[in-house]
Amino acid sequence: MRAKSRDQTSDTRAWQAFHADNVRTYTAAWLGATRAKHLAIRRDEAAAGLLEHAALLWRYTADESIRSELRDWPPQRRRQLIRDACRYFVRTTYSAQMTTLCAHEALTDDHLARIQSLLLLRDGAQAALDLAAYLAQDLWGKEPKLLFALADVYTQLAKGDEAILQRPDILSIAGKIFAPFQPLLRVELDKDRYWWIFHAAELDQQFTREEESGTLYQRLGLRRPLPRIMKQLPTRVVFDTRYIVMEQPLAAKTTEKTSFLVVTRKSVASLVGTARTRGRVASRSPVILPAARALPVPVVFGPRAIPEEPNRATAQWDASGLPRLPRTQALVLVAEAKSGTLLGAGYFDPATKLITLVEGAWTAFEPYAHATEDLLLVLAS
Amino acid sequence: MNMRSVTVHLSTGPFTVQVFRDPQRFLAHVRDHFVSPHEPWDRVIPRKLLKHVCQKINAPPVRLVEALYERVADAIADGAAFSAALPLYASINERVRAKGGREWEQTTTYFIAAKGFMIICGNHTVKSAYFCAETPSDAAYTLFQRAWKTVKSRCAMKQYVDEKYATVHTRVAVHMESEQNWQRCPNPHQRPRSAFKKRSSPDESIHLPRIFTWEDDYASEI
Repeated sequence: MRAKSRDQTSDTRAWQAFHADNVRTYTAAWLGATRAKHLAIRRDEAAAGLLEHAALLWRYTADESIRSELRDWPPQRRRQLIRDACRYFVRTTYSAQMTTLCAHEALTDDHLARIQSLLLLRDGAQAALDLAAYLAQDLWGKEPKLLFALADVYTQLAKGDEAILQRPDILSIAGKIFAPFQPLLRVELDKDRYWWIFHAAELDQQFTREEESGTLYQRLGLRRPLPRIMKQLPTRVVFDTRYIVMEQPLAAKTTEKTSFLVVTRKSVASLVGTARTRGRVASRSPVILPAARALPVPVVFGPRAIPEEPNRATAQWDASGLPRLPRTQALVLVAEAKSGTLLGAGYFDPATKLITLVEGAWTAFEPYAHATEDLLLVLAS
Repeated sequence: MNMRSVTVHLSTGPFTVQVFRDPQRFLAHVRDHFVSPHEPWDRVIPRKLLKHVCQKINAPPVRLVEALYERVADAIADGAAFSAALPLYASINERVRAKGGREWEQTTTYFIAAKGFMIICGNHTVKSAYFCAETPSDAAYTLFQRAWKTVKSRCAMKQYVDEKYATVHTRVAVHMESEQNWQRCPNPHQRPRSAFKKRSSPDESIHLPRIFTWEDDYASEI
């Protein structure tokens, strides 16, 4: 045990030295010091590196002087530092790489390794942005452009975040890269903000608990293990080509506060079949609303391509005439009526009582542009 | 296309790996990495060659693929030799347990090339080589630091469960060579510290008494 503790201490110091070394180098590079010129580090890259490593050094030391010393810099210099860093992060290819990797159905070891590398980059970027926000607290009022610059970066990174969040099966494994860092933390990190550090462990615990008790598969009615189900995520719905996982409000006859509903492409077909025979399925299952002429779900506009994104389709239905509508925003699946093939997904907006298609390829919806009666809407209420 | 082998001398003896298992694997890697706009492979492989391959990526002529393979094999040989000589490499031996009780062991070896890309070897073949780049314009210094951090982090992982393939991966042994170089990143793009100290920042107006001493505060305790 003592040896383990000694190893950990040595490791902590190694990481501290690593980040301190980088703070020194990137600071010199950002200031344009002659001693750093041979490194050929661009000014924006140096600013991002300075912030990232200073933030990580603070994370592993809890030494407030690291942040306060930067905070003591004149406002003009801090402003320049943040602008340069934002200019770097906005060019990051994190989102493009993550989206490409997460699109693979089955990942190779190489894909997984690259996702882990990307998560490490994401972690560094978030630490840098948090430090930037800390340094700019007194500048927001005078410098709204600084806020826009940070917002641009967050928007850029969000695309990649969205891609990995839709793949809890990948995140649960790739997130393990942060396990060795957890004992080194000296400051408390926001679990929602740094979800890549904390969720892998939570997913593991959750999955093991549910798997051991057998409740997970019973509840889902599935024989085969599904990818791990994600809780407490910023996004409430996980949607990809194989399955949909959505957080469901308190269901009847269940003691848990929330439960998850998992719909596979196959199970949509069976749900549609049940709907056809019974008209409506039991209260714990999603309510099936055929958008056929028989039921009053008037079409506001039929499927059409989004002008800005011609490959994607949108459509809208007016659900105001339907009974038992959910009080909160709810997911709506759009399926082909005869086969039950899942074509896309949308949202029900309780304020307008409108159902809007937001996920669906135009090629899939084009045949139904003038045949909306052949579509089924599956509303999770 | 003849697959080449590379031999480097590690502390445990000569280590020979084939540069990719077969042409198909190599081509898959070309698409994923070598012509990727996200990775600065043009610093390692002539840009003109990469451009030609990129233009005919769907059905590249054999001669072009062979030319690219030769360049890649050279870069991997140089990178692995640099890493072994430093020494800065790591071997992870892990036991994989699959559903139904089937078990096997696998060893993965990581090298870091001077240009900053990682070389990943397993089962006596090079499985992958890639840059941990956030933007393609990242400096070689940054790329090397990132590769070092990634490999060190991966070595520290203990066990993980791959639910998708129903396998449990448990680390049996991790060998990191040399201990000193994994305690402190031996970035080849950074000059020795003594050279740094002799010159001063041209921007004298900036008050930075401690920022430049942080390293000393923490590093002295290692």
